[in-house]
Amino acid sequence: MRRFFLILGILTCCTLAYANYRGWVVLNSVFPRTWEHKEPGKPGIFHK
Amino acid sequence: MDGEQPSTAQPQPQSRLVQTFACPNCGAPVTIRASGHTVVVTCRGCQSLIDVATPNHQIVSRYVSRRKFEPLIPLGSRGELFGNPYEVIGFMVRSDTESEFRWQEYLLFNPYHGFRWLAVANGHWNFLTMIKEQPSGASDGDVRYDGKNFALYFRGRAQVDYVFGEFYWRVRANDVVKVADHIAPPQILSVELDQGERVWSLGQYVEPDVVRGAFKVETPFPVKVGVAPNQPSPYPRIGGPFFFFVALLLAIQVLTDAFAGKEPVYQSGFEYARTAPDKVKVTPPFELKGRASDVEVVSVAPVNNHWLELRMSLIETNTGKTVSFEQGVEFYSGSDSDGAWSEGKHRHRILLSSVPAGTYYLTITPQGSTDTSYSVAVRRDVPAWSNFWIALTLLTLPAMLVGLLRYNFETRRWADSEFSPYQSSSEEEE
Repeated sequence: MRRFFLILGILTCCTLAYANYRGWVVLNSVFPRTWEHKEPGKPGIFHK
Repeated sequence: MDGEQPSTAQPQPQSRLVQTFACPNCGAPVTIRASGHTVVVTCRGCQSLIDVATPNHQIVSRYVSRRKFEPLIPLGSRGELFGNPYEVIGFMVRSDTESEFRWQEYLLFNPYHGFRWLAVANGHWNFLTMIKEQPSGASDGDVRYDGKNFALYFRGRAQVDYVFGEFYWRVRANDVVKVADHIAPPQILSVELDQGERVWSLGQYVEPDVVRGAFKVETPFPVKVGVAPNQPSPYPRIGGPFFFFVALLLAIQVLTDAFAGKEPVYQSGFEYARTAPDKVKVTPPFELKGRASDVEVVSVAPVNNHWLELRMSLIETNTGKTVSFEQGVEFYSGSDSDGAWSEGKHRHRILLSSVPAGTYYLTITPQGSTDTSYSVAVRRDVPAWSNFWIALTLLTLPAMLVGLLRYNFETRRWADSEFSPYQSSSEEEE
């Protein structure tokens, strides 16, 4: 169980460091999976 | 377990150690397995206790127990424990004079290593070795031995209820000695005080299956009941690693915050008029540089008892990749019988996760309950402390669970002790 906690601690720290580096934000944020594809070169076109 | 342990048991051939003679009471053959060390032996036929240290083998007592106890490990059984072979030569049942709590003790013998004990209570086993060094500290309180602190667990008087086999001191039924147990799981330090002599034994918790396997006992042992005084906890102490990782998480977040760019990339003010034909605003392109990182969008509107909703899209000019989101600003205030009140905010903040570098612009479609001005500000690489709080929660929940399980285990361990550190003051008063 101690080993499990050590592994959990290491994984948590690594995940936080990597998430911060990559600019991932979990709360109060919009995730990349919500990105849509729009026609390039047509500014101002907005689809809900 | 009082008496003297032969300190220098010399290697002797087995044949010289085993002797047989006729019981002076009933004539049945009596075998001594540790000749030269054994002082008393019981006759299997009449249970008379015979003093074999005297030349003519005097009978110490013709005690016949009203209740006969069957040993869990038959006398004469041989087995290997902690790397050495032992033979079971004595069996004793003892009890606490106050609570009548009863336990069994088995005397083990190895001609090269001397005597050891196996004690079993409530299905929990201990392997005990007499020690010559006196632990420091008072025997009626916590003591230190071998660099470890042993907490006082039990103090009382132990009475011999039944003896069978051979022993290295003149034991007899109804003998009473003062005893105390001190624990540092998985070890236990037991002391017996008899006629001014203190005898200390160091015990190690042993799983029943290890004992049963070692002596090849076929009948199952009694199941374990409760938690033994020195039973190792399955829930380790994780306070040290927990605080280390919390400090590490905090360091990671503080460093992230310190080195974050927090770069303002766009800021502008707009006017919203409900009657205007074209309310959609398009910002000029702005650059998001460097590695992928988050983008903060903050909208501010000085509304009062009104609301403003902004539907936005962040669009990459070259690829057309778009992320859409909404921001709502609302603020209400007034007064009632309880006094002045207000709710809502003039400001709304949202973070766009992991936005790659590129040239972007925003489209803003406002909708509101009143005409108002509003502003939109965009910043790049803004640290999100929510990540830290989530990581801290992920670390804290398992730590709290393990801590609670460990606390529960320790309270069960100390439940039968009058020296429990988990007793409340009200319990102590009782």
